[in-house]
Amino acid sequence: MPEEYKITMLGPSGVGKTSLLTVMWDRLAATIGEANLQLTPEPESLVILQNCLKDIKSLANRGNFQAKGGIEGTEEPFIYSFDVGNMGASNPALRLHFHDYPGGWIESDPKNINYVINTIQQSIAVLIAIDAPALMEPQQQNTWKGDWHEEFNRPTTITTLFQKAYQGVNSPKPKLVILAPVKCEKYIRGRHSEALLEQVKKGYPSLLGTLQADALSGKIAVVVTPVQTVGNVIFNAVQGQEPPPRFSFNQVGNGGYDPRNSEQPLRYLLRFLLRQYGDRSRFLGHRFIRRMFDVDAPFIKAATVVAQGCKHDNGFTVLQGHNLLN
Amino acid sequence: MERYVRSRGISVDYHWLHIAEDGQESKEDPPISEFISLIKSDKLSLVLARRSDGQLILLVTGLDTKSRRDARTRPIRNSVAWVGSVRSNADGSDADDKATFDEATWRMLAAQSLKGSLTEIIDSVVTSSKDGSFQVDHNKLKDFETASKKTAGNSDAEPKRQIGKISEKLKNKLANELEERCLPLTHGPLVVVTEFKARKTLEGAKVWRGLSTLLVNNFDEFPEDWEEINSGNMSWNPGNSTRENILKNWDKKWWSLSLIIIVLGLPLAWWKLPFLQVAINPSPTSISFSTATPNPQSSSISSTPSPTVSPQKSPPSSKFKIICTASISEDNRGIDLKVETSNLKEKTMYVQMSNTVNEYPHQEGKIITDINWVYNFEKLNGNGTPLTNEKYYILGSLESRDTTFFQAKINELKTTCSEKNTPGDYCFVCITPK
Repeated sequence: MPEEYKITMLGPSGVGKTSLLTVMWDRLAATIGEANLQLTPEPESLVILQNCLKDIKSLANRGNFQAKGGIEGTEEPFIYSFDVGNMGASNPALRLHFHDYPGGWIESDPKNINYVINTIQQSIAVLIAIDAPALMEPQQQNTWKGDWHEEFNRPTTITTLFQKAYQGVNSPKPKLVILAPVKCEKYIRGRHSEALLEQVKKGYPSLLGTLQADALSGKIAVVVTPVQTVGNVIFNAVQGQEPPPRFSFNQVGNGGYDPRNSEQPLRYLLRFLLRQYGDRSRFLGHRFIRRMFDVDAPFIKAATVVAQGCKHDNGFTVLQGHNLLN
Repeated sequence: MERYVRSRGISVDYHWLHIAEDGQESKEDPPISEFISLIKSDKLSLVLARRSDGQLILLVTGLDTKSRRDARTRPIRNSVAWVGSVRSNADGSDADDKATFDEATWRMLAAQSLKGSLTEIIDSVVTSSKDGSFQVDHNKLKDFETASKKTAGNSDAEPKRQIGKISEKLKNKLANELEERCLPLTHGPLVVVTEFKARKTLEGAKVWRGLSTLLVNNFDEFPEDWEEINSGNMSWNPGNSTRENILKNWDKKWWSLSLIIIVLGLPLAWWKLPFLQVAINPSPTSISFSTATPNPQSSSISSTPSPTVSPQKSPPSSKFKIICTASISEDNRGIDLKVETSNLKEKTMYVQMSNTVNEYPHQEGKIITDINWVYNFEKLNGNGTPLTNEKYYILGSLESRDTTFFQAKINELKTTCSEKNTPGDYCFVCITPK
């Protein structure tokens, strides 16, 4: 049986959790075949992701100057499950369960908040989707202000969820936290990736401080992976006189769906899991290793190739826990 | 009749509002949790169900709005749920007028949603409010309900259970049937219309009428026309869909049997198996162990193993018991591990599953949240594949995964569950799917 892992998609409503998951799957599935790996969603997840992908593509291909809409909001929690294994292998090596839920749950009633906290507790990785325009805009006198960061990305709420989830955990198992700014087209293409990285650090000081606490720092890896979710759709301006602000996006160039670096969060996840995969085998003893050895060797070889594709520049960085990734 | 509407506003995310008779709105979820897993609620879906307490439920989700959008310019959807009294009792006794009113209304509302007219009506009832949320015109909603009941037929229900691939043709057929015929008297989800749900999901839920989209897996294909499915016992058992139901079912199925086993088996076990004098498991598929008790006030959960505990050295008053029982989940794809604990709330238990071929190596710590705690091993044999009839072993440990006793236990999996005299704060259960 495959090793199974939970991953939490974390972020407020409308930040782009489901879109991020969709493009991560789409891009990684399109590229890992070269490494003799396959990423296979279970049937229900596949059909839903295909529909989400259609919506994202239509956003980029609509032919209008201004892009509106995108994936519709999530109303109920859903677990997207993927098998990862060698192409043609009868059994997958890994099964990943991504927990998605309505973003409003992170600050609604206690029942929903507890659901999110429990999911974080049980997850080996947490993927925080960050609205990059909210984190960055506006730019005044060569300074990025991030005026809408608190309102749109809710960093204080996110920090509180982590603090509650990891509270009292004396010897936590290794975990991965991925900070994934999305809709980054303007900042990466405009050569502002370093500023984006700085804004991430400035925007989540309490969270990063919490994860650097003595009890957690050696067990939690933190990475930043900026994602250009759609590609040729770029933040344009903040519209509307009354709150909440509405961000408008324009198509550029010839338009069209052309995401960049969207698979990077999954590459980092795979890289982290590979390390844990080895650890797990040692703990489970020689019998397990013997039994699984023939299956594991080709998988580890192929997954290593995929993990080696992790980017380290242009906004990508490992903030802590290098030892958990290498 | 209780009314609930779910929507969102420009900034406030999706949530349910209960609409009282006088139009008062309050944040409250409808009692639909056991049916939510049957649908993809972001898409146009319908559930018509009779709860075990007799309440009839109509849930319609994924209703589009014409012009409402959130702050991210995403289109907003509406959902609506009506909850009412029973049409008649399952034993066939007569229903009162109020109840009959409810079912007729429910059926007509369901028919209208299948024919597409409900979308526009609910869109006209629900509007975004200035506080970033939404509001409901309850008078308009009530007028619509009243108008809906007038034309409902009253013929007996067709008892055959049928499923099919969702299409305009079958939706219209189903709508016509609902307009003309009563619902069957059974409990559970009667009508489910949704997208992206596997055939097995609807079959497993024992729906009376089910429509869903074709999935990519050939094994999940729905027929283009109605296909009769095994009518067998139509009473629905929500199985593992909620934790509460697991416990409820457990109680119903096993407690009487367990009581008999305890009464008859205890004296025999006491006489034959001295080590069982420490603790007796009430379930036929479970074995329980008593272990030395750590100080309940202490934060440490590691306790002293008691490899050869004798009753004299370990009086019951100084013990706690971990009683583990296992049952095959309703869909035959997973196993529910129930752990009864006396004083382990908030402690961490590490669980692991194995069978004779494979190990389920995900040995993750779980917080025990209740004195009757349940951990569900889902989809053990791959998605959509029922469990095979080989023996499954479940280990639960209050210690971390690298303790020697746990590894020793793994080594014992070649043996049977009769190997029970193992020390440690753990449970060990084996079960064979039928």
